[in-house]
Amino acid sequence: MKMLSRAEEIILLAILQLGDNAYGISIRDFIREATGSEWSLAQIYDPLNRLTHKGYAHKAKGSPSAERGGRHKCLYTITKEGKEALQEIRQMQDSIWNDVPDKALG
Amino acid sequence: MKPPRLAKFLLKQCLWEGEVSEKLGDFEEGFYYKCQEKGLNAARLWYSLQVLKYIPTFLKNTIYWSFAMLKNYIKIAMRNILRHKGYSFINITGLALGMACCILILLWVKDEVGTNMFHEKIDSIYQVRTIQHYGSDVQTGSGSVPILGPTLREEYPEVLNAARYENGQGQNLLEYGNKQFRETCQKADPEIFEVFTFPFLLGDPKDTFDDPYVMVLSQTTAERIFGSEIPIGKILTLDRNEDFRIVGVIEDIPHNSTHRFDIWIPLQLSTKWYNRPNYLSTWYNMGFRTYLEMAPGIDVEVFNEKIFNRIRQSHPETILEPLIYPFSQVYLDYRMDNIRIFSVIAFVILFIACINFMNLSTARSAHRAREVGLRKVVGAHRRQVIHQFFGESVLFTCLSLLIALGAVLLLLPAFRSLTAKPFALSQVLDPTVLLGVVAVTFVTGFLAGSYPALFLSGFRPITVLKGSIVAGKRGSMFRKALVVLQFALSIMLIIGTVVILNQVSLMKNKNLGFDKERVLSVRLEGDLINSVEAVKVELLRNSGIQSISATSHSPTGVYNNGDGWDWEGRDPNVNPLVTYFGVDPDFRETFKMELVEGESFRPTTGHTMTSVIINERFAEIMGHPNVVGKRLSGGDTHLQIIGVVKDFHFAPVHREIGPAIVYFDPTYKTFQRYRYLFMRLNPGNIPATISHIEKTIKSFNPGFPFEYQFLDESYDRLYRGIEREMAIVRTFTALAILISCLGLFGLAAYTAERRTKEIGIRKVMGASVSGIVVLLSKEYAKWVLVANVLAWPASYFLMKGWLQKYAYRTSLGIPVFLLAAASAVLIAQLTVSFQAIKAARSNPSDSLRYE
Repeated sequence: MKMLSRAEEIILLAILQLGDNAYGISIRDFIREATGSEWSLAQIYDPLNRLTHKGYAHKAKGSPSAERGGRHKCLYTITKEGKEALQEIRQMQDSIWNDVPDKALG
Repeated sequence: MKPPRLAKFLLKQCLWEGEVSEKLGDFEEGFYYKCQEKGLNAARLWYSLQVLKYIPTFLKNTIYWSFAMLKNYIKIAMRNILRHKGYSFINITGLALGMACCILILLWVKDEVGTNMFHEKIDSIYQVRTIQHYGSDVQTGSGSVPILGPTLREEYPEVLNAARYENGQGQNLLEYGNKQFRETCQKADPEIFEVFTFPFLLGDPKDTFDDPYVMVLSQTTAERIFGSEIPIGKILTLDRNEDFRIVGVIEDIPHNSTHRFDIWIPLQLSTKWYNRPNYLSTWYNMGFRTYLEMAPGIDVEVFNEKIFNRIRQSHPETILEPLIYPFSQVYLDYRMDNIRIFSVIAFVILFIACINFMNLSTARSAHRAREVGLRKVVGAHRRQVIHQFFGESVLFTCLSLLIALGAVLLLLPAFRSLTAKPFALSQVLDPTVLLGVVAVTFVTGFLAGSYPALFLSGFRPITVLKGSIVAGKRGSMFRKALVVLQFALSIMLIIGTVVILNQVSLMKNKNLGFDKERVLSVRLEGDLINSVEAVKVELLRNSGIQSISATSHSPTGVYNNGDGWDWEGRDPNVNPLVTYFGVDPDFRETFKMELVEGESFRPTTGHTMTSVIINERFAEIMGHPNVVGKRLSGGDTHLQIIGVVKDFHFAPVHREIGPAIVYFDPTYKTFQRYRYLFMRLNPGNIPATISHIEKTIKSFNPGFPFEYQFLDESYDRLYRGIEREMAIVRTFTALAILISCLGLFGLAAYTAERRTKEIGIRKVMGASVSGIVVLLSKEYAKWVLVANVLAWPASYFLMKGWLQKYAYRTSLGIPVFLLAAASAVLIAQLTVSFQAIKAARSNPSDSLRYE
């Protein structure tokens, strides 16, 4: 069973959806749009680190740009294992949610 | 449009090298968008907040990874310690020894600095001092006239309280039932219990004001006299004459108090004892110490301005001007020299130990170059290598600290007896001491680690792993400089110790102007006082006694002095402070003092005036070619000079001999009465003579126990304090030198080891053992000589300054310096040659066989 924390799940989903443009700032923007809450960069880096260590995300050097003060980006892509982990977590959630009748939540 | 510089700097510190670029980029891009969206200020705020939020993450990561690496670092460090056992031993014990010395000395210093500080009101207690003008000569003394304290308390509201002590303490006989005790009593105002902190265990301080016949004892004294009985209300008889009621028992006075007394009796008694009603209300007798408790926040300068004329107002012809001085400073001022010397020694020792530690660490670090290379190849960052070496060095120092603390605990009893201070374990564990020690540990660790950390971490892995030479010239030059510095410091310590030793022995062996050998003294007390002549006659029946003289003081300390003397043809600007010393006609024979001019006293003076003898110094001040026969007057006293005696020391030798009057006043009309009987004994059966003296004295003065002192012994006692401190200085100088040698020994071992092959080849080519020993030790001899060149001028100036305060100084001659140089070279050579001989005697086939 590959468990993911909620933050890791959200970030991994963001990487998946952003395709080849997933890096610190874009992930943060994605999350803001998706959830409406503003995450600090530190809150993103930590799960990102864990994801790369677990092998769910892959890190690569990207191109520099002027607004970055000429510094290159660090682009993240989702790996095969990452996709599997997302699948698994989704199935698990589905199976849990399936047993919950709508009116139980009120 | 730039992010805040401080925040950016902080962020950079948090990021490790590999991620600086990308993460800074992210932060900067976020900043850029924010700036476009909400303006510069909001963006800057945002940036700063982001950085602050990043810090916890950073800390978490650092700690996590550090733990992983820490295990490895500790393992490597332990392996290194074990692989080079000898070196590690020298390194760690050397430092531990240095730290232990430093801790011990700092304990001493802290104790000295804390002297008198236990008084709760210490910050508002002031000592009254007196400036004395003798013509153009101005002296400041800590004595004061008796009426001044009470007067100031009456006249100035800022003076809250005043307490007086009588200078000096008296030995008295106390009787309780049939038990006798000889105790030292201090006469003082009862206000001392209000101004100073001498807590009462029993009794009420108020009772001390009752009547003159009350007494306060210290706890120990009370227990000695009364055992388990309750002392309050008990009666003690003093000198078989007066009865005193015990009104209080105080806690024993802490060892670091300058006021020491076990028995307090009221000062007002002295008017009765001396039969002088005005004894405590004169404006001229300087035999008192006065302490004032001042209102908080007073300005000392302003107050001194107000009172400087106070004595003159009541006593116009005075030469005295009072001033107040913070009591907390009094002892420190007097001891500052020694406190400084000791602190300097402590830090020099620690510094020497640190130099050792650095030298040995850097010398050995060359062996670690490969490890550093490999670490870097595997991906270590320079910063990590730096951390590793700092950490290792701190680990070493922590080990040393543990050993040092153990050593301090072990050495504490010895140190206690060396210093005669009752250091308690709790003082070692005192937070400030511990904090200081821990700080020293870390600073040492960082200093010692800095060179290998910063130097080795800079190696390029490729050069190191290829095996190119890495311990460059720079490193060895640096080490040599440190060795020179270390030896310079050691040489300075040697010179300092020798000079101080010389000075002390000069003072101890100085010609005093009288012969102190085989002179025995007995106090005149009880009935003896009134039968001096008869006692003398009776005593002299024994052939063991050569001669006897009754005196007013012991020549080891004559404190009676006064000014205002007048003589014919006196320069009005000359007004010397003259010390007077009462004797009987036999004094010259008893003390073996030499008469320069005139004649000595005759047993019965037919003169109408009291005749006196003055010393050479006084004769010189008077300025007459022939002073014998001149008259001398002070107030309504008229004296006639009948002779001049050679100068003799009547105060500790470090003070210059001042003018003195020796008087013979059998009627006690003018001067004080006799208090001592000095006897010069013939060599031979001294114990038998003493028992004769005992029998005779007891027959004249039954009821008083017999006690005597030898003059040379009481003289030696004057130097006990300085000798004790000499012993401390000597011990620690020896330790400093030992630590230097330990370091040199390690360094020599290292050099010899590095040159093993060279020595092997030299031997194969025909070099002799002695040739190689010379080759190896020559270098160190050179550096020790350089150290001498540095140390000489420095110690010359330092010791010259130190000697200033002594009136009679030892010479700072070449021999002292040559002695120090020779011993330093010798010690260094002995240390080095052990390694050199070992290396030179090794078999070349062993050292060369791997080629």
